[in-house]
Amino acid sequence: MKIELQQVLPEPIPEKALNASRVWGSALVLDSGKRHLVSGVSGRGKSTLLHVIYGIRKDFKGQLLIDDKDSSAFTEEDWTHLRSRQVALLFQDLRLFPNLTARENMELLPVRDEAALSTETMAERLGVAEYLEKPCGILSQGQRQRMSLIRTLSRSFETLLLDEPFSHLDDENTRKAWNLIEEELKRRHAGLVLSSLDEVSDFAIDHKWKL
Amino acid sequence: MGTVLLLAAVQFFHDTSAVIAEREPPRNFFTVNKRVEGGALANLGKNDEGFSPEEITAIDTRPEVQGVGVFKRNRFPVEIHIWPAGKVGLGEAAKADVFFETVPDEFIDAKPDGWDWNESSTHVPLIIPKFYLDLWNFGFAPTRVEYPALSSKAALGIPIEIFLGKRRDASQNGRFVAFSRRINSILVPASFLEWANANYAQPDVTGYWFLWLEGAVDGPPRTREQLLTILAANASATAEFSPLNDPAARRPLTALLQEEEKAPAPARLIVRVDEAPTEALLSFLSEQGYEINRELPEHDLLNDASKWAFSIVGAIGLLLSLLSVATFSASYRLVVTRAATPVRDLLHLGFSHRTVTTAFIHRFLKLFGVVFAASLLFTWLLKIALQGQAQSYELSVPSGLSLVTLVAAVLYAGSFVAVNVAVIRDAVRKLG
Repeated sequence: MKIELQQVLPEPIPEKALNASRVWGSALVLDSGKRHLVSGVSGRGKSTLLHVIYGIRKDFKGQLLIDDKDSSAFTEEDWTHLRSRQVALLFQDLRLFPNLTARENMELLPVRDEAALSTETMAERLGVAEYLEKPCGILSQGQRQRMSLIRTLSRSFETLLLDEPFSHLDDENTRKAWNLIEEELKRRHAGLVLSSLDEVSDFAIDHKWKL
Repeated sequence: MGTVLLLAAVQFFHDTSAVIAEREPPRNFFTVNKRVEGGALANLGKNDEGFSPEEITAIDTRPEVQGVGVFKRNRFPVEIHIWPAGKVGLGEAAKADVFFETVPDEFIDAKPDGWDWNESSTHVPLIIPKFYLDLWNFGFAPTRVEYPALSSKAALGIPIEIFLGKRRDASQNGRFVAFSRRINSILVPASFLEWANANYAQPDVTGYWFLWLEGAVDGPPRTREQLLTILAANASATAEFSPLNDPAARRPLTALLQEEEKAPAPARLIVRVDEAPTEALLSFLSEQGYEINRELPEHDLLNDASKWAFSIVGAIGLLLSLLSVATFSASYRLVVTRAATPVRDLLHLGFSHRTVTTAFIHRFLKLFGVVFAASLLFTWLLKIALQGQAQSYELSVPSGLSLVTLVAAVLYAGSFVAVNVAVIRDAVRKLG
């Protein structure tokens, strides 16, 4: 799927961030199947960009085109369809239901990609298999980040949006997580938009943008 | 609570309307009598309240009149003793001076089997107005501990002693056999009245004559029977007789044989018309100085009173229902709002608004279903309880909840659900 941003300008964004940005207020095309890295310090609008693409933030000037269609004409049903089948977002604040167990959280999905690795396998590879039956509310931030990643990777998507997915992981776990992400991207021939504080150099990335 | 009150009000309003409609006397029958004016003294000894054959014919030939029946009355004193305890001599008897009337059978609405009497009958069948039974139950019985309230079934069984004649010359056993909604009188079979009149009748003023012997009044006024005896014993050619009020109209005693015994003129008529009496008929009757007896005013009072009562209960029920709709929907909006975070997360995971809304609606329907079923059940129990009460007063109320109530319940439930579904949908949409 093709995602285009044309002169997109979110409403509350500092002048400084705007001037330094190669993203805001310019034309940007996210080709299908390509990997994009959006990096920059806090407050530059990394999450905002992902939320705009995911259809949660609509308070911006300019146009967002998805598969050449203007998103401002999308209905609630169109967005529901996009989110359940074409675009998956890993929120920075994870959005797990704290009173449900990790496994229940992963089962609570509108559409599951049957081709994806099983929950157990992914949890095994990320080292959190033993916490699957625990309520998410009592897990550590790092454990929850991995659980939320597994949930996102279980979803059906053509474009994967990851908002600082490694912020609470050590290098070893980050590497494991990236391997899993790459595997799932390849399986689906899916594109990626990854936001990060720093420029990560050891991942295979097609386009890098600095905000 | 509001639902119960609302449903109960609808149900009982429907029931009482049915009962009252049933008790409303039919409008196509009414009775006519001459207006009585002046006090008791002025009317003592007068005997002109009867209808002459010409007057009856005048009514009968009116185009809207389908038939006229004549009330015949007893011409002797009657006293009855009613033994509500079920046995003569047991407890207290209600004693009353009464009168008996007959009307042609086709005017009786409640004519039971065995509406007949002959001298070998064990008891005299009586038909009284249903209204009298109501008077007994709602008037006498509550004020006298020795008088029990009587259902119409129980009233049919109670023994009655009937004393005929001025000095209780004879007694008969009586029974109520039916209750009439049409005729406001105590009816007996014509055969009984004829027999009793023949045996115990007291001649009225027109039944007495002066006997004139040799141009002078002889002795006290005499009855026809006495005159006939005198005539048979001593056929004096000079014997004459005259009405008490017209001494000039003297005739030879032998003329009495030719004169028919004059039946007393009927004082009341029952008239049958197509539907309700027309304005033209009513004004004709009023011009003639007749009064008609059509409706018992107490019914209207009762009707109005119950309508008011149920309107107020219904209004309170409606108010409570509206309040409950408001609180329920407000609290459901709160439920959705309190779940704002998980709802938003579910929507962001790609669940549709419909899915999320449906989950809330299911929960709401479950709760409302329980409340609604409980309300219906409670209304039904209330109805059963009050039905028992009504039956002890011999009001026939259909069992179960009426169709009207069920329709009202469905309408109410429908609007309740519609309002809340709209509220939930709106609340979820605002979160998405």
